[in-house]
Amino acid sequence: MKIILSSILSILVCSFSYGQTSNKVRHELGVNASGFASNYLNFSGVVQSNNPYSITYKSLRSKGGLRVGLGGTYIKRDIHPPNQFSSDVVNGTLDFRIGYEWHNLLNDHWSFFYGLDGVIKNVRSEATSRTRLFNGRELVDIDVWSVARREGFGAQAVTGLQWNIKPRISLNTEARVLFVYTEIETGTEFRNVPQEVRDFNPGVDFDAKLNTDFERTLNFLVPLDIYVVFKLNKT
Amino acid sequence: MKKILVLLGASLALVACKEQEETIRSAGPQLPSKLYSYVWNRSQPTFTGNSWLRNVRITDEKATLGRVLFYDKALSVNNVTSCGSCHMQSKGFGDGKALSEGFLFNETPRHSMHIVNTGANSRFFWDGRSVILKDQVLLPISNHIEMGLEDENLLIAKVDAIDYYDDLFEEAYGNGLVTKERIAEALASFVGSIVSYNTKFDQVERGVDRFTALEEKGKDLFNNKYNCASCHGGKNFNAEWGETAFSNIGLDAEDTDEGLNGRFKVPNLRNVMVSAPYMHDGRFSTIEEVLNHYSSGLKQNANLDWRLRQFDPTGMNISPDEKEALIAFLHTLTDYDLLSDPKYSDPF
Ligand code: HEC
Ligand code: HEC
Repeated sequence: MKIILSSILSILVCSFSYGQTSNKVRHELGVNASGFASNYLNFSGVVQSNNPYSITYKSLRSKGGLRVGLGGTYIKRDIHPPNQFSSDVVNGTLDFRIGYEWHNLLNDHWSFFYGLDGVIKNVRSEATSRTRLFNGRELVDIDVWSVARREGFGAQAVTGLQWNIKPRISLNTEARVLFVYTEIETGTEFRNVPQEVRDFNPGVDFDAKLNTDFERTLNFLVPLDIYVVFKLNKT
Repeated sequence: MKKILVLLGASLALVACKEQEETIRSAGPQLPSKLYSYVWNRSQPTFTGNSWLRNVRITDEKATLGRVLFYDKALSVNNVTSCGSCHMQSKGFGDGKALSEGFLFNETPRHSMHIVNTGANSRFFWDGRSVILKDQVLLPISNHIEMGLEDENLLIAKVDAIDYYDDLFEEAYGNGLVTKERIAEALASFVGSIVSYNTKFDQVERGVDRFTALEEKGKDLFNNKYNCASCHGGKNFNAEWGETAFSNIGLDAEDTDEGLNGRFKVPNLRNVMVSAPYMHDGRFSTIEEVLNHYSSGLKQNANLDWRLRQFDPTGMNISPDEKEALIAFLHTLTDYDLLSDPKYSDPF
């Protein structure tokens, strides 16, 4: 954990101090176009996206610069079966990376870059559900809250290729080696269970159950995603 | 400069988040006034009466109860998943995903199996860890990834509290008492009633239809030249008994999943064309990839089945024409009646 945080910090410090040497800054905004492209191209059987960052931003000087990426999803589901056993589910992901990259022009149209990022990778699913149980006389609503949360920190080394089509528009793609350390929390908690319901259902264990687990993963990710890059100013 | 950055930040935040909202609502279970018939017709050709049958006697009432339980999300701890979430009729009772999503969107470690003719199974799951269907059907409910309802007393209390089960238990068992055994038996009755016996292949066997030349060629390759039938044998295209029902087909040189001592269940190939992706980890998304594996992708795993060792070390070298014929034959194993029969559909 500490190692990862300090490496993120050092990347940042390094990127800012490096930035002082040149004064021409180029701002690049990238949009993950894989989803869009897959409507037109069909790579059968290939996983079409493995880069969670919908949008990227780079602030580049002559040799390299700061890079940031952000992505997320948010799904809300409202499940209401006829039996009053409902559930409101929220499923969200957040992916953030920040780092430094170096780049080299190969020729007029192609450039090559490589870099290091600190990575945050979070997934959270939560459901607030209503279940009805007998208390001996009638049905009583109790709330069941369940959660699965993954909080990951890590680092990645990237290398990529950029095709500079027009002065202001490019396409790029990158391969990554990603290490993530994830804390996983899962569990269920019964809320507002009346004593009568407990008495009527003596066999049921209404105690909260929460588990914490850890996971380390190392992934090699092939360059499947295409980013359309807009250069916000001319250099 | 600052403005640009603020703008950038704002657009970043907006574009980076994909939001989606979805509401799932339905009316009560819609059951026919005259029960559908689930009881097997003994002349249906695809059965070998297996061990689990000793414990279950399918009746239409039990299977009807089982159908409602199968599709009822209340059987998961947070009312989010039912058996039907991962076993969808339109996909041959598989779910079309490499790995399934459980009650909290966590992935299952293995690919969901397409359910068909369980009566011809000697064991259940990819690693065969369950032997009796009546025990097997309760495992997903208590599984911490699939449905998360670990406390069987809570399962009983929940089912007991739902009004429409009163009549369903009454009809199936003579009184409304909800027990774990009854839930298991009803689910097993429904699952066991999911039978396929009316594919084109069956119709040809019965002499009421004919294979095309291409299908005939595919069948011949399947049974003779490539001897797929040495594993995917009989009318269920699986291997029915004991240890030989499991084998290693050289997907990896080193196993990433132990399975049953490095081997996995030979899956029934009925409805295989609608139940992609394939293999215990759902690694192949098309049938072409499966055939490419058998043709040239074999890895020399220490447990690689002897029936596959007779070919080149990398595989059978199936030609493009032969692949086409094999696929045509596999298409004749799709049971369109089963995929659309209302008696297996979601009643909610
Ligand atoms: C979250 C997805 C999910 C849910 C929900 C689920 N299953 Fe499954 N099912 C699977 C997976 C994955 C496998 C294979 C597991 C393995 O081999 O380890 C499987 C295997 C099976 C098999 C074995 C088939 C065979 O040929 O061996 C049966 C039968 C089955 N499930 C029935 C059920 C029933 C009944 C329910 C509801 C009580 C249910 N499943 C709920 C994902 C699910
Ligand atoms: C040595 C026994 C064996 C032979 C021979 C064999 N298979 Fe298989 N087959 C298996 C096993 C075991 C699996 C599951 C493997 C796994 O998931 O690890 C499988 C999986 C499959 C699947 C995927 C099914 C699913 O639901 O995921 C298909 C399709 C298939 N085989 C077709 C064929 C064809 C066509 C041939 C002949 C060219 C063939 N098999 C030959 C044992 C065999």
